[in-house]
Amino acid sequence: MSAASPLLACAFILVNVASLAVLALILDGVDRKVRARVQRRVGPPILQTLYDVLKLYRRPVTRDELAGPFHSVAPALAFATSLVGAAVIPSLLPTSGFQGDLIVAVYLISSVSAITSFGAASSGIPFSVVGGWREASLMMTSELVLGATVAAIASSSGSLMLSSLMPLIRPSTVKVSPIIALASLALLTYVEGGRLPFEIAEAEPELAGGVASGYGGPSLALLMHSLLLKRVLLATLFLDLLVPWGAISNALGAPLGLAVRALAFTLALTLVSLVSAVIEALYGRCRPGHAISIVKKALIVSGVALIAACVGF
Amino acid sequence: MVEGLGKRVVTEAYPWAPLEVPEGFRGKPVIDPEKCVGCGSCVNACPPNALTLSDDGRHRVVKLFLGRCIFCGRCEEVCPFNAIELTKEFELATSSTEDLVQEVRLVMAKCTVCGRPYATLREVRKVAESLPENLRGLAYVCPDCRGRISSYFVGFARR
Amino acid sequence: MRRASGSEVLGRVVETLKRLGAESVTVTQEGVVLSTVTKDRLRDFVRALIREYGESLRHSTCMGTDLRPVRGSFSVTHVLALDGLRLYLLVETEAFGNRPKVPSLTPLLPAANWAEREARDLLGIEFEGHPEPVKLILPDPWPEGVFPLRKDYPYNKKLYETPAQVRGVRGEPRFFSAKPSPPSESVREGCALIPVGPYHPALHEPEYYELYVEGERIVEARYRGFFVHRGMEKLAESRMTINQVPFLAERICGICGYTHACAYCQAVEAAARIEVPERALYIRSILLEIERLHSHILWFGVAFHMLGFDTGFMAMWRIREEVMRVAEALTGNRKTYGMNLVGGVRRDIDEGKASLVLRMLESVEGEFRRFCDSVLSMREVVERVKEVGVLTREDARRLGAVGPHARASGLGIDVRVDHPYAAYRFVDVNVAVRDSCDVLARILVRYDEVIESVRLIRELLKNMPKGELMAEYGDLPPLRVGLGATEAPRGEDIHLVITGRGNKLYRWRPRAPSYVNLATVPTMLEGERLANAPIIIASIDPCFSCTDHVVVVDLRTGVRRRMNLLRNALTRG
Repeated sequence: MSAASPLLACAFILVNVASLAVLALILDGVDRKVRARVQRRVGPPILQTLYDVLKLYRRPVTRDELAGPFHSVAPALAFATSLVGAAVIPSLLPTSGFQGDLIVAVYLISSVSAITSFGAASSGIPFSVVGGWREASLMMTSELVLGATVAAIASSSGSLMLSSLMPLIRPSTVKVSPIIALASLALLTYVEGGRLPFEIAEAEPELAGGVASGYGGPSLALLMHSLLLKRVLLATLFLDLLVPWGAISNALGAPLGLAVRALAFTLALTLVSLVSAVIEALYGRCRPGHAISIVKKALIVSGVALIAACVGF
Repeated sequence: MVEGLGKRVVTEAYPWAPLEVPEGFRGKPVIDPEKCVGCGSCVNACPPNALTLSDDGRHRVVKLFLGRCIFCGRCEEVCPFNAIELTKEFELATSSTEDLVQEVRLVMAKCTVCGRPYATLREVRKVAESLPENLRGLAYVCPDCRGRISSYFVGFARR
Repeated sequence: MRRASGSEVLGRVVETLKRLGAESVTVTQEGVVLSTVTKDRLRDFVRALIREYGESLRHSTCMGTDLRPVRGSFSVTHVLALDGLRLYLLVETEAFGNRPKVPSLTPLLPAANWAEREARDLLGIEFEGHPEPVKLILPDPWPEGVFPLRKDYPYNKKLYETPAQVRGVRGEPRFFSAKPSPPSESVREGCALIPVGPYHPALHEPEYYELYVEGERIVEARYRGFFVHRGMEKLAESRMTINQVPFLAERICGICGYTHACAYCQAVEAAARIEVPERALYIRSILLEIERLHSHILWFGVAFHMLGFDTGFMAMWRIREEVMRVAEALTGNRKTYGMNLVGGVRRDIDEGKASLVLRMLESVEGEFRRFCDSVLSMREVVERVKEVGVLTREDARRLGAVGPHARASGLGIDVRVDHPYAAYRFVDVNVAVRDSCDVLARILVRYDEVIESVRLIRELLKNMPKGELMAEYGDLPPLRVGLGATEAPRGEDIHLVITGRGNKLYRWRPRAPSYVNLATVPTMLEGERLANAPIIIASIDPCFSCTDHVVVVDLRTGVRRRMNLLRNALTRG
């Protein structure tokens, strides 16, 4: 079900963007709480990440005379990109959607990584440069996986519009390729979410924060916020392809259906976050080369899914 | 390793709940101004010079500055009168240096022969108490004069 | 074959030393032989010693002393360890004049490098033939001809008295930079410079590595430390009495302070021939093992953090907390501090406290084993540390590595066994040795040592005799040499003292184990991946404060220097 009038469609988009932006921060708080609990600590309050970002926004803007011009605009650009991503991908509420919004979503999500790593590369700080390099090399491989996965799903369901894609429901016969593709997407959501053992670009003990090490104050807040938002967008994309949200809201009728959808979606996002946090607590950071080789294995899997989809499985 | 989820958290409630410290804890040293005689044993033993002595003619001041204290407890160990003790108190953060200072001010005794202040009155009295009654007067004489007097007597005896 | 008894060995060694040309040979204390050699014969003497004892001769440290007020000369005393024979050889040589010169031993024994440079910086003794005659401890702009450890330099004299002097003639602030020596020529133009330190989140203490990298591979590593040199030796020699120094000695380190207090007290007790009561020796050993327990468990936490495995970090520190609680009950504070005086210990371990310790051991051993076993069975963890940061047995021997670091490179040296002190004379210590020479071996050695410490504490508590805690003794005899050595959690800790008049020290030279272990780090880093650098540096359990203990520099190294470095890095990369 999509919004009837353009005004309502705008309102839906605004609600989506605003709630994802806030949820990104709160879910990180939930993560920290869960990790603390696994480690038998009390941990920070759930709103801690929100407080952190708000505090950073109030800090004065610092400029590093050695950094290139792109360094200082990168966080704002990354944040804007991720907000557009939140506007395009249907989440709590449906969006009007258009043919090809799937590709736009994938493109926007990858752009956040690309902007971050370019920003880091122009910082002039050795740690940041190495972090950016790691981010970029991880991204190059994982974008291929994302592309192959999405292509497999699109070709098996014959659409490029997110709201009409229901890989697990739509096809009359159960197919293998979407299941493999979704599994691969799940891994990717975890990897690109910057979670251990794949959190190699910031790597506090090795690179002193890596890609983030050249930023402070508001620009650090923007960078943190856009990386967290990217994490949520990936999870949203995964959930959109896993669960037929449109069917849920349609079945229950306008206001109630939307409310149930929004609530269910939020719960699903939280669940993804909880599971990821528990997994994350059990791992250390792997070597950059090792991380990339794991993603390469995922690439083979999604390649298989793509071929399977093309031949009709 | 997820077993942590089922177990009690170990984070201390402190500072929202008090923290218990064991017997014999080496916390803030406190001088009992009633017991201190200003002998300076603790000052000699104190490794970081947190304890200092100063005389201004009329008074002797024993000063404890917690900013330098390392809480070793040597002062407590060497004090002949148990006048300084380590407490269980450890919350010493403050915005004012004055809170970290304890001063004990003791009146000096003047030598009955030359009039020079040479020790605290309290210390002199302690010494006097320990002497036999006929020698008590000697406690009120400064070491220099005491030396002169005794050498006089010794000389007298020899003669 | 019958094993030669201690006195036979000693007799033979004394004979050998005389034969090789020592001017005089004296047995100063049990297990320590002092020989004096003229400076012209020093090199030949040491060369002959190396020929005689070969691999088992290890350069431990050296102490320079300004003896002008008593003998009109400077002296340099090298400490050579013969671990297999349970002996320390002190080789003393004299030099005269305001800029005394002695031959350097570094070309023969590379492990002497830092100790000689330290004596050069602080006392102005030149070491002829030293391959790297550059500053080690003092910052680069330190004025020429100012030697803070000489007796004519007052301990409370400030190098610059007024702010104007600090600012220099042109009004520009002086930066007390201390740069590592420049890279060798093998570092090519294309290398980027990654500065690690002086402040870096992975290091927790100030030190400075320059890593020259190609992509993620480290081509060359350079180290410079001593940013937290605190002038402790000077303070102790000028202002403190012998029973005040233990409290300064334990502040050399924030983790293994007690081992320094013990080594110091042992040195003075040896110099003054004080017999410490047996019960006090047992209490010292128990506390030393408790210190090793908490230090090793702390290290496991740090190592896990370096690998990004924070759940392991938290678990280790939670387990360690139980040890700290017991330390608090035993000594009155969280650390094992404030227990020692020359001649014994200050507090007893009664039945109640002993049962506290036993209960703690039970729980710590169980939890530590369970957690570490499951971590060490994780392939990801093992793969990150296997064959990483290799220090060959040969290099370990050459650079004089000590402690768990040496034992992980196949060298079975342990002061507790080789030069027994405290109550280690009465119990058998199992020395953990591994020979894979990598970070994994260092982890496994420390794992075994935690378990061994638990066993040792139980045994010591069981066998502890009743008796006094403190020996009685009079005034200190002046100008006697004493050596105290302990096996700190990080390796051999050596304190050398020369007693002075009025219950004071004439000279005190502590040498922490990290001092020698740090020198091995660049060797381990070269050829490794950048991502492995933190765990490699951490794998020796470096303690920078220990190493840097000794000239107070108030001026901070400035921002400008960092900028220059960055610019350097940029132009290079």
